[in-house]
Amino acid sequence: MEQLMKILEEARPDVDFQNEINLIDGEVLDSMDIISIIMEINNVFEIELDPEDLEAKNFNSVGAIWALIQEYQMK
Amino acid sequence: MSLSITSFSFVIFATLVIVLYYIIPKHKWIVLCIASYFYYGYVSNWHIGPMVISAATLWLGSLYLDKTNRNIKILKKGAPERKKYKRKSRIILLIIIGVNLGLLLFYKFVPNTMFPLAISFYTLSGIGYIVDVYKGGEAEGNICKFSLLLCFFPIMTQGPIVRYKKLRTSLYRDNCFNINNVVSGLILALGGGIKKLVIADRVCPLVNGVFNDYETYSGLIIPIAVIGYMIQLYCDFSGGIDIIIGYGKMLGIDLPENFRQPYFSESVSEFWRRWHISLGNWFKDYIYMPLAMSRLNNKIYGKLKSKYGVMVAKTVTTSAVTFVVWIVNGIWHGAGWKYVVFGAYMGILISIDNFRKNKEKEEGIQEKIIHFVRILRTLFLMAIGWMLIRVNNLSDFPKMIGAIFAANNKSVGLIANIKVFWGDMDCAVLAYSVASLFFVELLQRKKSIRARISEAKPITVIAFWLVLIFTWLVLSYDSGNEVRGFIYANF
Repeated sequence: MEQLMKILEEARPDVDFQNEINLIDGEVLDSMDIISIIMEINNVFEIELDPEDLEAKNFNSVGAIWALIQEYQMK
Repeated sequence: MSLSITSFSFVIFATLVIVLYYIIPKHKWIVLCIASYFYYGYVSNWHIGPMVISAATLWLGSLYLDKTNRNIKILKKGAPERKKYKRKSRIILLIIIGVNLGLLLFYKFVPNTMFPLAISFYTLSGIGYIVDVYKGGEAEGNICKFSLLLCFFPIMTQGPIVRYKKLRTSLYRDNCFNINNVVSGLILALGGGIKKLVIADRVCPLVNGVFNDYETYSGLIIPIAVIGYMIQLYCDFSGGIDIIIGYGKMLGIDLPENFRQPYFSESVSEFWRRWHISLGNWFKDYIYMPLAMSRLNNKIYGKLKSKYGVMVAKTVTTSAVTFVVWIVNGIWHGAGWKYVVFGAYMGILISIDNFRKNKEKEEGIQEKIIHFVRILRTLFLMAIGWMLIRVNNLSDFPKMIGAIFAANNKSVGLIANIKVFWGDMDCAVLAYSVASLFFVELLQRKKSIRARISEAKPITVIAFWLVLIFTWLVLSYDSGNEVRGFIYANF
């Protein structure tokens, strides 16, 4: 989780990721942010997120992103 | 007999469909299906082969992919058969996309072929559908229902590009008659008709006259023609879309929004989030995202980041993908170098926007330009873009720019030039209608006119309807003004 927070804060230092639960639906993150975050996640966690998982519900909060990463790690 | 969505014959046809739709108690979608088959056949002059091939391949392919997805779900993770099924699915998907894209490219780029009605729009809807099924989305088991998605008659003129998963509920259910829907749809459709017939078609003679014969003109008439084209394109396209969405609303069907006051955008990237929204979303979901998340892009991102940092890596990779997507977007609009240059121009502008946005976020500063100036800047940049689309040949573009500053002996002065194309009545009607449109768009920034009218006092409602119907009836079909086809129908 710490690593994930580091990635998110590096991508967007101005966003309060701890409390934000509407990252996509609230248009806090744009497509460029999401792409750079996904690339970092792929590199750091050694997984390969599929474009088909790019749904708002998977990226709206830190908790959701973390759950997605764990799902991939168990595959 | 023309069945163009702005013709009286369409009004009669569409009214008949609405009446039948609400009379039939069950399986109302069948009325739409029969009406759509007839409409597509009739308007396309029975050139229906490509549509039938698309519908058949997409439907059969989606059933196969759906079945394979179910098989994969049953198997344990890591089972070798899973990989086999996935590989087969991918091959089938690629074949179907190949066939449908091949048809589109064939008719777009091979000269002297008869362009099938709405192929640019239904091909994208169809590809979106098959990709969604491949990713695990639901497939439509009934071929008639599926084909209705592709050839639903109101969207056959110029889109919007529809998505199965978003449209299916309202398209296939038995919608009950709802007076609010009908009134709201009617306001939207009448407003759209006015935009198209009163403004776009009236501006057209000057725009065509100057663009087709720019050597005769010089000076201010050229920028006026460019501004005219900006107004014409917006009123033509968004007016048509308003008629289509309004008609859908009258049937209780939710078609996707395609415009959100684009000419009030502060940047070019914002403009494209507000103009032809359904196309932008399609490109984002089916081209931009897969490319941005590809292994190659990931690799480039990693290398750039380790050398130059996150900001550079993010900007370069997203800009490169944006550029590719915009070249494809340009080519979607038509064959010819001007469309490629248009795509490249937009790609560069959006990349610059991205870079600026990234820098602002990183440094926590905001560009020190007031809102109004940003809008003017966007309008200027878009004027150049639309000029690229409108010129007859790419080589005309620099010549036209030159003509703005050149003195031409043949030129008889600005007012006289304008009067060649617009009579006093045209000028008065345009001044009234463009000013009204601007006022309405300003009002709509906070709340839609339809919502405002539903809350207004009866006297305001009556006045509103009188103005709307008067403008539509009197100014739309007056004798001096020819009813023209839609610009986006040719893309």
